[in-house]
Amino acid sequence: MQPPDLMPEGELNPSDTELRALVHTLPALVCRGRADGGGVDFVNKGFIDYTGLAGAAALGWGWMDAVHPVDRRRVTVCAKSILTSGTSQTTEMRLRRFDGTYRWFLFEGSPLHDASGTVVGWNAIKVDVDDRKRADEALRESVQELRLIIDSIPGQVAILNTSGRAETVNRGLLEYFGRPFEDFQFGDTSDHVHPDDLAGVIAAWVQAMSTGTMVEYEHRLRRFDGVYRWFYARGLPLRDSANQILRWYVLLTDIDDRKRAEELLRASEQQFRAIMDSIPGLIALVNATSGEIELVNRGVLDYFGRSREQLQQWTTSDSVHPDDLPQVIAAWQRAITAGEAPEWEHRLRRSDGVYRWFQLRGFPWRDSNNQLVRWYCLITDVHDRKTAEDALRRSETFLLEVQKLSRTGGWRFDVATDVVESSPEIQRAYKVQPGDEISNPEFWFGRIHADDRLRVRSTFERCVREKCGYRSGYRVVLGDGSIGYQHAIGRPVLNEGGELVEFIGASMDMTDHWLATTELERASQALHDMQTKLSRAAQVATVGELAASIAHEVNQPLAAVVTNGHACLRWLSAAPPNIDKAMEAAQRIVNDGKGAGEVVHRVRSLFKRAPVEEVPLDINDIIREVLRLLEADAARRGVALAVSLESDLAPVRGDRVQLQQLVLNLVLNALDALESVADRAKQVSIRSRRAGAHAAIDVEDNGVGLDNPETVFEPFFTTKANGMGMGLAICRSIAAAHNGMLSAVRNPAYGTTFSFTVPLAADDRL
Amino acid sequence: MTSERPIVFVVDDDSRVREALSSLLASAGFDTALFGSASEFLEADKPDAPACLVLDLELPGTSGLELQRELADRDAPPIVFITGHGDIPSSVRAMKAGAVEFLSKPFDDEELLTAIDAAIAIDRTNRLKRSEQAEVRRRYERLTPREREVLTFVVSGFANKQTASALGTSEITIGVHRGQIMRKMGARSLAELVRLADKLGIPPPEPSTK
Repeated sequence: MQPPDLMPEGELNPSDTELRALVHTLPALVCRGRADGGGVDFVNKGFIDYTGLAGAAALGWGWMDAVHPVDRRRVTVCAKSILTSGTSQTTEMRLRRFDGTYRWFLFEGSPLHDASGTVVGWNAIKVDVDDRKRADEALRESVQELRLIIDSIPGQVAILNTSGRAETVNRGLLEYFGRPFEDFQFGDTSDHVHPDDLAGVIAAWVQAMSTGTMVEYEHRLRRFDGVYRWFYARGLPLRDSANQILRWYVLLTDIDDRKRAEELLRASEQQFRAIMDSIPGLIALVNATSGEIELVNRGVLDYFGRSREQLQQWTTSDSVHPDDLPQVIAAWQRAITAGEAPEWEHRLRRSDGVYRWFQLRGFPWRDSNNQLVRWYCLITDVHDRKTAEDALRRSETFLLEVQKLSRTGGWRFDVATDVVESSPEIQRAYKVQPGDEISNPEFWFGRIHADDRLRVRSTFERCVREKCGYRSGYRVVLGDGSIGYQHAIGRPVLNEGGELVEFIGASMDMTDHWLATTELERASQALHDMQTKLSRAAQVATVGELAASIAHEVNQPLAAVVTNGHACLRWLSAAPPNIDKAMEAAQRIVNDGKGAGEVVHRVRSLFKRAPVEEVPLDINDIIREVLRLLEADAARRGVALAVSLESDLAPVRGDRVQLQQLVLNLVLNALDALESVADRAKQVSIRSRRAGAHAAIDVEDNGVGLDNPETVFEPFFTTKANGMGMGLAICRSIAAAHNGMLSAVRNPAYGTTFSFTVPLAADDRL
Repeated sequence: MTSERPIVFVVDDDSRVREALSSLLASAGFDTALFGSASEFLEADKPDAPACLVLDLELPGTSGLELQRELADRDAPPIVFITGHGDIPSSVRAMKAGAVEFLSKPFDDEELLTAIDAAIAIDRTNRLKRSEQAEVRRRYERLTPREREVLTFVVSGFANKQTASALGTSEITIGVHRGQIMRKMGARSLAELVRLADKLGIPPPEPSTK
């Protein structure tokens, strides 16, 4: 640009010719215009070559012929304005080349001044800018095209600078919001975003700006009419060669319909889940091919105390009771491999560690190809039912066992239908055979022993009539002819109206007990007899033993006396007689004889000094006790005992055992006295009566009698072949020790009456 | 030895009875030894003479019957029981167990002395049997095992020939054995040898040896 400027100012031009040559060789088109507006008076060779105009044809306004008609006026105006303004002017124009094609040129014209500064002409240089111009044109077209493309995108596009301001937005965006571009370029657009989503959007952008990564989010944007719709925003950063972010390209996609569909789906899912969760059981969706749990309801989570996330990696096997696990695993395998519908009961461990029984039932869900996809499993808590069932079963087993053990059967008699129900145990006890009419009451009555039947039947009928409890024991004749013993009880069951509906009862097989009792009674009787005998023997032995002991005591010195006597005689009769030895023997006889006398004396004093334990006693009781001992004995001997005891007899003071022995001895003596009697009824009468301050007891027999009653009390007096003769002596000493008397009198007709007296306790006190 | 003076043992817990018996028996010419209880009797050293035991039935500690049982297999002297109040069962038991007499106190002197005489006579016989048997046993001990074997055949009535064939030896050898047996056993005849063998309780020969 400088050379054309130099030339007009070149008053120091060294050579006009050199300059002219230079101008002609410039690779640009140059011309010089006249100040009078008469066109150009010079064009350089480049111009001529380009336009192909002959030199003269270009001069004046001839060159304008090569300018595109559309541009001629603008170039003319430009050239004239150089002159009028005296300043440089530029314009663009199309200049026809010699071959007829137009190319764009930049026309730059500068005024020519003389030394005084007067404009004397102008110079113009025309630079070929066609290539640039065309490039500009192409660019403009491409931008236009892009614009069209952007505008035609069925979404909203915005190009933002790094400060977040919009550089460009597409038509769709403007139309959606119904606002001019300037609002986006300069205004705050955050009020377009749904208030609920704003924070999320800002956060997404802050994140994207700071990291320079792609930004992506969903948010609601308010349409021009105020309606919010869901948009998916996706923004990508554009970077320069230095990797600096220049701007963001953001595409907004309307996803409102999808979003609504999703929401609908979610709502329906929620509804579904709500339904599932509200089912009072556990529900699990199990993949039919992998066996994995796909979905469970809240019940499952609550029961196991796990979150849905935990459930994903959950192997349920650790929640199944170890005892049930093998069957459950086997059943699941059948379900997975063979498609067998799962159905079983198993125990599952609750979150607190407690196992409960559950019934699991699976329903198959198949896809359109009828392919089994998953099992819908309903897991119902049956624990209470199960435990109730178990309890019932146990209780039933228990009841049966107890019935068996206790040999007790249950029965029911329905009054209205006249039907009997009976438990297995009762049937066993009655030895019921198949075919027996066990619902008929007559069958049961028929089994009762003939001797008991009428009684049992009338009892039962009375209980039915009176609606009262029934109780009866009876023998039953069993099928095999054996006899059993049953003890039955029953309770009437009344309805609200107080009418008898049925009898519920039990019957216990008491056969063993009955047999044992019978046996026991027999044994007991035998034992009792034995006891009586023993007791009597013991009592009698007391006196007998005493007498034997006394006898032994007396017999020893007696034996010594006799032996010494013999020895003495022998020593005397020897030849010669041994007097010394005989005297020794005789001396021993004397000593031993004295010894025997001492024994007798000791025995007497023994009874005199017998310590008496004095307590108030009912003498009648004592008599009755003794008679109880002797009843059997008397009966055996054919002796009748006539007892007559005064009822209001005051107590006596004395020693129970000694008085018993006294009475016993007297009665035994009386019985003995009747031993030889054959011509009359043997009888012993025992009486008690009051005699002043004493109680008097008489024992009277109708036996052989005594010639001299008093002698019987002498020691060693006896009428009996094996008697010791001490009994009555002892008896008298007992009576004496009690401050009483023992006497004997001969009866007018037969026998003897022994009487003794004992002071009454009350009188003693006085 | 049969001429030894007999002795009467008295066991009674009553000293008066013991003394009286001692006097009575002395008057009848018997030596006596007195004991107050069964254990005293058992523990005492007793002379080796014909004897008799006068035993009280009722004794403190070991009773008369118990002592009798205890003495049963000890070559003890025969027993005369005396009792203060004897009963039938006791007397039956005592007599069954070999008592000579059962006397109730007080007893007659003749009864007692007769019983004691009888008892001593029995004891004399027993003692003689025992000493004879001991002598025979002593002689039998001198026989060789082979002679003892031959003896069983001889006393069972086998002839020498039969015995020889049964024992697988010669008749002459048996004859020699037989001579030795007769000499060692002090038998003057076959009959005497048989009697001696009987005392020893020699069994007949084993049937398997014919």
